Amino acid sequence: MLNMNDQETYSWQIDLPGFGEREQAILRNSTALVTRVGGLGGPVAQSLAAAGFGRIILAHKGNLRQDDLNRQILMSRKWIGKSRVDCATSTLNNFNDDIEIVSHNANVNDENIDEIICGANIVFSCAPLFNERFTLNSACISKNIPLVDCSMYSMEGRVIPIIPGKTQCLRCIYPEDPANWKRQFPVMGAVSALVAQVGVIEGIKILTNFMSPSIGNMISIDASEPSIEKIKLADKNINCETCNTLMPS
Amino acid sequence: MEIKVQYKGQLAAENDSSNEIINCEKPLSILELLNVILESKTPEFRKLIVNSDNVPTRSLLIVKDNVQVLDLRGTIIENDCQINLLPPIAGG
Repeated sequence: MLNMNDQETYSWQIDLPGFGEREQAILRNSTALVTRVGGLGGPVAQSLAAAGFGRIILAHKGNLRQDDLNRQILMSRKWIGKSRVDCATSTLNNFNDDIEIVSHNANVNDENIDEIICGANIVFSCAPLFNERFTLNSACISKNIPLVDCSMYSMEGRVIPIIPGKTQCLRCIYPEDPANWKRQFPVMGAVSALVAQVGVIEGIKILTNFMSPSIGNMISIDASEPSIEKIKLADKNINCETCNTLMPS
Repeated sequence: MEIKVQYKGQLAAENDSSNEIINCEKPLSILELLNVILESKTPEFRKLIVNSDNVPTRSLLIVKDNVQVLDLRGTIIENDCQINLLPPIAGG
């Protein structure tokens, strides 16, 4: 199932109990969409590339600023003032030139989501604004694509695996637009990377059926303690307008 | 009984501490607990918990002993427990 090159590259991963060539081949044949390549999305994309996802779609508008550099690990100082998504693509290509990177110098919105999400088998939501997250959530539910919602604030992070038709969606959990969320938030880069890794592990579990993904739970990470807890979420809301857009399979 | 309340996200930032212990002599609902908590809090803290009509915001995730609570009136705290209050976060 795997060619010799992949067998060599991923040999340490394939040695994991329960994770073999079949699972690696699933990753090789999978496309992941990562929205934004900042503090969360950058390490998410890097670990997806390391894990051997065959195709990674990146979406992030705008140019690199100096104050991005405490957390955006796909960037480099010499790229300040240049496109973040181009820098991320370059870094990932240097890291693993055996995967395909598709980049969009755009943030997800209602107009471009269908184009950006096209072909994705899984989506990692790492956007700093709720309107992007809700757009992704709606698209994933209506197209029956698993979504891993990763978020952080200060020393905390949350990872919510969302399976359309099975779990609560982001709108079930947050029925109202959060009025008090601020665009700029305190962040330590190492915490965003920590949250990102937990998100990637959940995504790999979902796609490959490796071990047990935390379906129906929120993973709550607090690096100040430190602690990682699973919070059992309520059943999906049968009256959720977003969940009810899922087409019957 | 002793209720350990843990404030997450912006709530922790608005409060002096991310933890608070509330001692009660009789059972109380989650809604009543929120009112007890809000007695001593700043306006900035309050608006992360309740809206302008003093109704709990529906996007506040309330967790009792690691299980999400939806029924704020019907969920009664009768024993020692931990309540986590998680306002939405989207840091990316």
